[in-house]
Amino acid sequence: MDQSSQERSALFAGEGSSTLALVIYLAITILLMIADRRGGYLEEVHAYAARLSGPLYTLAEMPWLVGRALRDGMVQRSQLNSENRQLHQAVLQRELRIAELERDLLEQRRLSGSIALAQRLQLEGLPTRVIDVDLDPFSHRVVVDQGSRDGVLEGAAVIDDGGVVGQVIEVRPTNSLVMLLSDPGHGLPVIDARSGLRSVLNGVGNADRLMISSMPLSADLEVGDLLLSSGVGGRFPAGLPVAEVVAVERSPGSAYARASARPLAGLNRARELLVVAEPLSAEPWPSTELSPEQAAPASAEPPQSSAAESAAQDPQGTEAEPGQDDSESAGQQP
Amino acid sequence: MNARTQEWRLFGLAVFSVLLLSLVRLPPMLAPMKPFWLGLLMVYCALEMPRVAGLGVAFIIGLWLDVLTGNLLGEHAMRLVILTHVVARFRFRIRFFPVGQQALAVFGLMLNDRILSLWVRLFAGDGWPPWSFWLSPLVAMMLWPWLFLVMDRLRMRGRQRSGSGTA
Repeated sequence: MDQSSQERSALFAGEGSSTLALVIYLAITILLMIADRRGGYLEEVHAYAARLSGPLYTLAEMPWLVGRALRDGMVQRSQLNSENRQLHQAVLQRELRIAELERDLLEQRRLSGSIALAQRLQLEGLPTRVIDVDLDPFSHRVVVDQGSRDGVLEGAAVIDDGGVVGQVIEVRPTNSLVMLLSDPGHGLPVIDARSGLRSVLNGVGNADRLMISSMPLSADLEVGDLLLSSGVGGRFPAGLPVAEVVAVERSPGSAYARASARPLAGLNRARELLVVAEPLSAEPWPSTELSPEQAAPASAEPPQSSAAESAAQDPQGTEAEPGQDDSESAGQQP
Repeated sequence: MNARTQEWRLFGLAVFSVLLLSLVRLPPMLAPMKPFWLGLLMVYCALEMPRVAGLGVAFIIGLWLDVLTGNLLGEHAMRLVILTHVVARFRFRIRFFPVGQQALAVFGLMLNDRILSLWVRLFAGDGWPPWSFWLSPLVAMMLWPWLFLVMDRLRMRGRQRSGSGTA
């Protein structure tokens, strides 16, 4: 340091970084991070500064766009490509319809037809495209090319032709930021299409795997089950396909069961996406008790999984305890 | 005066190109190896253009990068401020290192930066990153001599041109 102060001639005046300045800047950055994490006070700051993002993204995307255009031109199938894109969008729209129908069907089955199926949610999809920029290889976020000018709303669900991809976490004028399901900060309330079990599906930072942790041991979840968004929390439309359970881990030693699921959407690969506008009536999935007819077939299954009926009626599933599940559930069978 | 505006112009251009570089998507195999481009540039500038690369500049550019990448606001700012400070502090030692040793120093700086980034991630509840998280400092080390060459060349040319302009 003394060496540097010696060398610091008049030319270098104003240079340098005093420790005081460092401390001040560090304090500011730490405060900023806390404010951003906790309060979300900084949305306006984000939105304002992000105005510059559009052109930069466009520029950064150029190499890929050019590369793709060259490739398409070379095989002379641009027409095929555009047609393909249209078809893709059509499939997406169709997928949405199917999700809607599937939900209705489930609802109907679960409500045994008595309660009105009135809360039909009208889902609207906005086709969008992932902008080919890399934000950070270790963050599970992508930028899509539709923003507030196109009517994207914060919190909107984003799907591809497989299922839910993630949700919009920041809307800018010409683009928006989507947090993928696989982000460790993402938790999505889901419902098991077979058993009606509710749980929360979390990202673990891996595009091929999602986790349900802290689920009671008795929870009725099996490999191969389809998980749909449950709409709990209001923002996310219910009934969109999300993931398929690939493993359920019930180790006797631990108090909770864990399950891992494979997302149905191609989180890494998806390029053509659909932003699902918020449902007109953001009613969560009606919570219902299982009817006797539905509970009956479950009892034929092995004790571990049949024990889950009690858990299915308790959305949070916090009351079940290890070791007790069999006897408890036997008492609750109708 | 002229040399100074020249430096600023070069710096602005470099920051812009480096921002683009860091936004360009790489094939999935290579993506984790992406070096912290802006950090590398700041190391160079703190070494060779200290009039330009102060803490304030590091702070503002870091904030901008945070916004661009949809990151926690302040993360990159903090990392760049610390990086710049460390380099400025050891400037007269690092400057006179031979290139190989300089690259090693850059590796150390980038490793430190990675650790800071890991802290922020852990505090923010993002969990442990995969092992490939640690590849980036290595790549940065290997890229350092080239970046140094290119920047030096650009700076010299700018200086010559401004010199001939005033003469």
